[in-house]
Amino acid sequence: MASAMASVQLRVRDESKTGQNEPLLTISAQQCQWPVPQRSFATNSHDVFNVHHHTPDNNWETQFDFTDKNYELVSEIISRYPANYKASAVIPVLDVAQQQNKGFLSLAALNRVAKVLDMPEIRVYEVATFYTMFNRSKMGKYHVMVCGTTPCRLQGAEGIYEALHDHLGVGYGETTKDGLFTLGEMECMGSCVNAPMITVADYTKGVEGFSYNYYEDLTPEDAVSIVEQLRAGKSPKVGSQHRGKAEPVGAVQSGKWVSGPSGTVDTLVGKPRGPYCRNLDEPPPAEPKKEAKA
Amino acid sequence: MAWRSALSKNLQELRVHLCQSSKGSQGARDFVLGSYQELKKANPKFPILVRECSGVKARLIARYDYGVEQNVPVEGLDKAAITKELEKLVKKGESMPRSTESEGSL
Amino acid sequence: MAACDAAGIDIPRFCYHQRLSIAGNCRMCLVEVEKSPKPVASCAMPAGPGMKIKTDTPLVKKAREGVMEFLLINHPLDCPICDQGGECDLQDQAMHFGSDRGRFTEMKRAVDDKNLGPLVKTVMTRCIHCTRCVRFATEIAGVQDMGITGRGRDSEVGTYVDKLLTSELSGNVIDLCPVGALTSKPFAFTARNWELKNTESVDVSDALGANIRIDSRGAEVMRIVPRLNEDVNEEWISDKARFQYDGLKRQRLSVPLVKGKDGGFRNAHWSEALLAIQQALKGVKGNEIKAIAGKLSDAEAMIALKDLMNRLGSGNLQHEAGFSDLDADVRSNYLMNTGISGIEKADAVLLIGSNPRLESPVFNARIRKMWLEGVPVYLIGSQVDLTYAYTYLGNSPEALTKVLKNSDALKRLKEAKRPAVIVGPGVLKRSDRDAVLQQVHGLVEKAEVVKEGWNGYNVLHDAASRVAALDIGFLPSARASAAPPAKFVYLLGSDDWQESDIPEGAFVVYQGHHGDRGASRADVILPAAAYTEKSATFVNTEGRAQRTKEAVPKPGDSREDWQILVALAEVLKQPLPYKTLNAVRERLAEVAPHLQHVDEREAPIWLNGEYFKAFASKAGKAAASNKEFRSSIDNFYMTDVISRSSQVMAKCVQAKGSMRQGSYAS
Repeated sequence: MASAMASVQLRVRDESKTGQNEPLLTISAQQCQWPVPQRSFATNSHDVFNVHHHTPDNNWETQFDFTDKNYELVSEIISRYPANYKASAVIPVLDVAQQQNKGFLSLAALNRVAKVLDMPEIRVYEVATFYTMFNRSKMGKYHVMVCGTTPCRLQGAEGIYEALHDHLGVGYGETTKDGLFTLGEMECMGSCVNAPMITVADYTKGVEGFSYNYYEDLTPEDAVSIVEQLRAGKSPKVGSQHRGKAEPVGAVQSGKWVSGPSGTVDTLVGKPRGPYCRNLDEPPPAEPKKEAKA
Repeated sequence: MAWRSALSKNLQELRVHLCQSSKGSQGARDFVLGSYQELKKANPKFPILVRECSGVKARLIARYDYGVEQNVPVEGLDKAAITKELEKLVKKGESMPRSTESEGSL
Repeated sequence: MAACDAAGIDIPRFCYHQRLSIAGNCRMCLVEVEKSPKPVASCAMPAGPGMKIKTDTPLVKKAREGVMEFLLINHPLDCPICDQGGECDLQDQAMHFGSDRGRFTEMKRAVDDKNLGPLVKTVMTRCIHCTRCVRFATEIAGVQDMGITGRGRDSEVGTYVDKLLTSELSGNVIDLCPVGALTSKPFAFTARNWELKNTESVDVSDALGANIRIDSRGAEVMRIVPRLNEDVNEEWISDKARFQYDGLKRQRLSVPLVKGKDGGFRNAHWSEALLAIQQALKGVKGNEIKAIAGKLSDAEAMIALKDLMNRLGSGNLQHEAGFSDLDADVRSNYLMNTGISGIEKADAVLLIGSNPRLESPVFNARIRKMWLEGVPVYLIGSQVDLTYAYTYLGNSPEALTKVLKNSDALKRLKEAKRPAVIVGPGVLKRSDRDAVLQQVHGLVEKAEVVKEGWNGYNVLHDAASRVAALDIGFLPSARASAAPPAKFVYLLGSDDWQESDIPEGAFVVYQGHHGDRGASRADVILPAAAYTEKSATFVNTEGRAQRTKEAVPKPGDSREDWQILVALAEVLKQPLPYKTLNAVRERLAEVAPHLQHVDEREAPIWLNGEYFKAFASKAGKAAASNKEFRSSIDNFYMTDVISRSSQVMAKCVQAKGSMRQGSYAS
């Protein structure tokens, strides 16, 4: 599970230094008598703030400019929209900037996008903070995202997380010490039939080599092996780890790949029952004596 | 006419009050439109203050030295009559007592 | 919603504001419309014919209670410490339209406060995300710095980065914010709104004459807020107008002071001070007396001073800051002839020598409004950020000449049905002013700026007293330039005189309310009242006479300006014919009758070409130098005695120098 914040920072604004919010006191969670509230929005990446915090490599002085090749890409994107609506291109162009800038949008990148699209900077900031796809703080080289929505969770997404957490030593929204992997939790990515799954965004090769691959039908060991292959620079098998086609039926059960049906076909046999009424306020009709075996 | 250039010699300031649209100020409006330029040409540094205000009765106000003012109602008069009134004011100024405000050249 | 308002039915709202674009995000204005399956946001739904709108049904009641409950979910329990208490929209609407109990037992979210500068205090936890401040900054103030970052309950209104909100209209977000998220920093924790006495008055920090309401408690001005006046300032006032009031408490002159032999001032009684003046005038000839009126002088004081000077035999009157001999003959030559609200009807605007952003920020907002609707703006002057895009034509009289020679700008002005030319202090404050004005006149004729039913020639002034001075004729008389050097100078609240105006060794009397440059030069100081302490007439740049009202008592021994002059006149044995305020005002009407028609704008008459011809003959054939047009305002926050004495204004100057400011795209 996402770890609670390990400490609470007490910030008192020092009036003499305008704009500085130096923490004057740091209280750890153990010292707190009251429950430390957890951040409640997506723990996809490090972005837990909706205001910009200057860091040594991301402040007013940082520079960013698109490479010439990427400028061509940007112009192509802008050309898809009417000439007086350049701002419509903000999301794809921010995506290009993020891919070029090793997976995160620095303030300089946001300002550059604003300049290229003739938009006020604040409008770009608004878009970049709204979408969780845009990371605004330094990321690892690979952004590993575990799907945590219902179908995957039923099939063991928590187990995948535990495995990765134990192996890499990071929780959701944190980066490993060697700066290789950032672990994040994602919403449903549409491969529910191949649950559980992770996806990896690869920021090591710039815009041309950017890949966003699904690795599905995972057991915890699979997840760890994928991560190790990435660390070694190899390309793990994309897609389902255990089958190439939807048939034969199989699933990850209790952390193990179980292929084939479990003997007999015992679900979804028989004629499907239609809705028994239009008005759900009426009580349902009496159950028929013959019941399909559960 | 000679009295026109005597305007700045005998007066310190001329004020014209008129209404922008009423009939009674029509003469004053004609007077200002017609005579302003020539009066100003003859007396370039002399303040001729035209002050319009709706509903006010047309007047000519001459300020002499020592703050003495002469207030002449010109409501309903036509341009020629107003010019005559102005001439009278200028003539009056010849004999008004002079203060140091009138010293020096124009 | 507008239809319901017109019908007199009150619909609660938070995000809707008459002058901002429609957002529709607060949902408080939900009403029931017949034949609609769900309640409808009345601010966004246009009223159609035959629509039946119900505002008093159980559905609407439930909707309002529900929305109010949602708004209060994350709203902190700050009422006792929140400055907006007592005038808070959320409080009022919760009492009126909300339910009587809450059901929320979870944790509320908290948000970091933002630093928007020394004027606006932010407690963003209280923010209900109505986005009024964002829309104001984007649309009206023209600074694209505010936005909502993040989403859902964790969205934060702010500038995202540590930027200062550098609009000169930034204080207006305090009025707009329906809750206590944005409040006035200087006013923080000082008073509750029910303790304050409201006085309707007029602002004198610039020539716009914005209508204000002075909130005072006892003898102290606690804050200044705008009053609605569609024709002058709509609902906005500039930051200087709003926050300079703390300067009214500092550096005040409250006792008459007479300079002793050792050069130091000593307190004196009024009679002593006036006798000292009488003493100083012994042996001084009439035309060796000079008077200089200041930026904040009112019309009553100026007419009293003019009458006194004339009786003493002096015609040497001037208005400070280099406009001394502006021609005041025809009013249409020094006024904003379109009127402040009338300028919105123009369809092309040319600014000459003007920086309206500093000279009158509220007027600048009007030009921005026009620009947003597509009116082209051309500028001859310094190329600064005016919050709207303009076509830059150059910065010197040379540029003006170029325009006259059949340029695109000239063509556009000619094509326009109602072109407007705005001449600013940058033109009027030059040594070669007459030559430049002749070129301007030529432009006005060539571009047909003045037509039947439309006079587009406008002059924008930068001082509250200038138009009144011009209206009553507070100018050098015909022979004043030939007068000998002055031996006695009367400064009527003037602190920005030129060194050459006061000869070395002249005896100077300063009548004003703050001890600034004028008082330090003076030999006798007579304490007068500031604009919040007297009922006085000021004329704004469109010729509208407006009156201030007395909100707080005068400090110490000070008197009203005209009263001092009447007393002085008696001592000098040249008594003035008026003794009461009404008598002074009658005298004002004798001089300039429109000064009695308070709050009305008199349409100035245009003398067609007559005035220009006369002007040309007077000005002669001087050539215009090629000096740049420079705005008369170097530092927006420090333009007159009150703002120079204000600590809040000083903080603004400091903040502007230190913090990063926005770069404004359009």
